[in-house]
Amino acid sequence: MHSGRQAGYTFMALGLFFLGIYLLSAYGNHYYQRVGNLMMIYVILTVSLNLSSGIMGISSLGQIGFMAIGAYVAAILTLPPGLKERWLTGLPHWMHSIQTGLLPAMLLAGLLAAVVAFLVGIVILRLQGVFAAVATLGFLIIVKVIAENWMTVTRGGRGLSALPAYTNLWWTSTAAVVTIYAVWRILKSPHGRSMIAVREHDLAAQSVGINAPKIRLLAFVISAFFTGIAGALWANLIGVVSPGSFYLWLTLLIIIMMVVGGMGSVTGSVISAVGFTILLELLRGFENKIAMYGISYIIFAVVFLLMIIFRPEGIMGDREFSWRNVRRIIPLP
Amino acid sequence: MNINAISISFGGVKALDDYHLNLAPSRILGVIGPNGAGKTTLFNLITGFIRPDSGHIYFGDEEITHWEPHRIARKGISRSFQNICLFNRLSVIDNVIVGCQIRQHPSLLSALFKTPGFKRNEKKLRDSARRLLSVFGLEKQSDQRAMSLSYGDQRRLEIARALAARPKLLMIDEPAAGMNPRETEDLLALILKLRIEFDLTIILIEHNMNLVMPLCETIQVLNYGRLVAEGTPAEIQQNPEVIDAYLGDENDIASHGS
Ligand SMILES: Nc1ncnc2c1ncn2[C@@H]1O[C@H](COP(=O)(O)OP(=O)(O)OP(=O)(O)O)[C@@H](O)[C@H]1O
Ligand SMILES: [Mg+2]
Repeated sequence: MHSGRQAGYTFMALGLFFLGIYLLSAYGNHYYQRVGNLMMIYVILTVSLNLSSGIMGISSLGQIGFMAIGAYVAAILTLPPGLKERWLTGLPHWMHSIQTGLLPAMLLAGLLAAVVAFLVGIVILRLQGVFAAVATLGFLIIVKVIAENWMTVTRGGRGLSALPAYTNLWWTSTAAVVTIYAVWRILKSPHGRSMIAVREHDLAAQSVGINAPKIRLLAFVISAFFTGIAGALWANLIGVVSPGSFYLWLTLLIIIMMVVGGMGSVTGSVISAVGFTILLELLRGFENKIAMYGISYIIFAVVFLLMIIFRPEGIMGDREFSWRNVRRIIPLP
Repeated sequence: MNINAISISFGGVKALDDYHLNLAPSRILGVIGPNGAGKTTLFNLITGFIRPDSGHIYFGDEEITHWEPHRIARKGISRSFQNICLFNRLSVIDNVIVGCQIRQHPSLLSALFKTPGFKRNEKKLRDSARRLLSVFGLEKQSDQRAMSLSYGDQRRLEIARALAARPKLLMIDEPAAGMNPRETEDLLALILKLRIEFDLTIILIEHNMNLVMPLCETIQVLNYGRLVAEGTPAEIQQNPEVIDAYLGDENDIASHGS
């Protein structure tokens, strides 16, 4: 198929997507808007986890640590000055009077998460497999402990509340599209091929000139950048950040979303994040109706187990969406 | 290529002991010896996967003894592996493209914005990979995953990937293992062709004398990590120590001829 036509389809699909976002923003009720926002944030989290874990093959359990960093950066930046002065006495004085909008908060959140990923990665990425998993989990725990105890900057266990609700569907959907696009382009570039080569065979990759530690670090840092942005969006959506929010439940959730979508498939991550967000909401409604609290987690776990048993490679394996395949099923012009 | 007195031992085992090599450009060297003689260890030392306990390795006019593997590869040494090590889930052509993109420093930004330069470079990579695959008769399989290839094709793809990195020195570790006589003959012709087309210096590890004898100008014989003989194929065939080292081995050297 002609690549110009594929681009045409893609633009049309994007147009439809943003039309949907417009309709939801203008006419949807608060609940649906909130689910839409969460869905987009989960898409960002899952796709960026897939870059470091699925595509690059780093067994990371610490991803949500970068989300926490992003969320706290955004929270501190966007917190109203009065509260900042009262709560965050550990901040330098000039920061007390500053309150930024969402865009600078997002970018700084992403950047700081990336810088931390760089420093942590230099140490942790020497390890492989289970060792890397344990070390990254250690990182997550350290982030949580710091958030709990650095009272004058994070306000400890009480968390930071009264954050302005800057996040809306336009921000989350645009950030999700940018994340998907960026990871997709990386995947189709020499860098992406090098990442997969290192994942498939570290030594063979080095034997054709690939600097394996460097490419691992690159994947890790980019992944943390987008995860940090997701954290910022989350902070200004929920309005509160506290240490417990960014811990094992979210860690597990995005790993499940990635695995079920297919490790290595951007398409799979998107489908899976969208699907699981809807599933979780439906289950929650169901749970409230029959007043059997906790049942939604059980059903969720069962769905995951069934997937692992009957389709261990996930919905998409490591294949990707293409208009060519769509045209085989639906006659497009 | 120049190797000076390298030694390495693993635990108590001396895998390579006071090994020397002086290899002029465009020559083909064969390295033979019984199982566990230290042949693969030699490759691992030259390509930087392991470090020698003592000794020096020179390539061109530089000492590469303690270089990282990827840097040695960029300098112009490529290898294939005894136990096939392909990028299994990448397509056949992508395996080769990964080799082709060595010594390139494409920017991430050009990939993100899909600049004309980026597209041109991708097309160039794909074209040269395709050309290389056709030399190896693998062009029909180029979109399959590497893991789906037959054993012989996988071995050939490994050499194709190594060549894609444009090496000056190509090192091949038992390429004929598991091949039938016919395939071995084809491989012989292929290596002879590649050598001229790409102006290669080659080091070949091989048990199959039908490949080693006609191909190599010099042969080194290793046994228990020691260099026991070095010479032309004719000299090696008559060397009593060599016959000794191989005695009782299935690859009895005297029964094979060039
Ligand atoms: N990484 C390693 N760690 C420990 N021992 C090793 C290592 N690599 C090789 N050895 C040992 O060094 C010796 C030489 O091994 P090597 O693989 O070089 O033999 P080879 O000549 O390639 O044999 P083959 O014909 O079976 O491939 C063997 O005793 C082997 O067990
Ligand atoms: Mg060997």
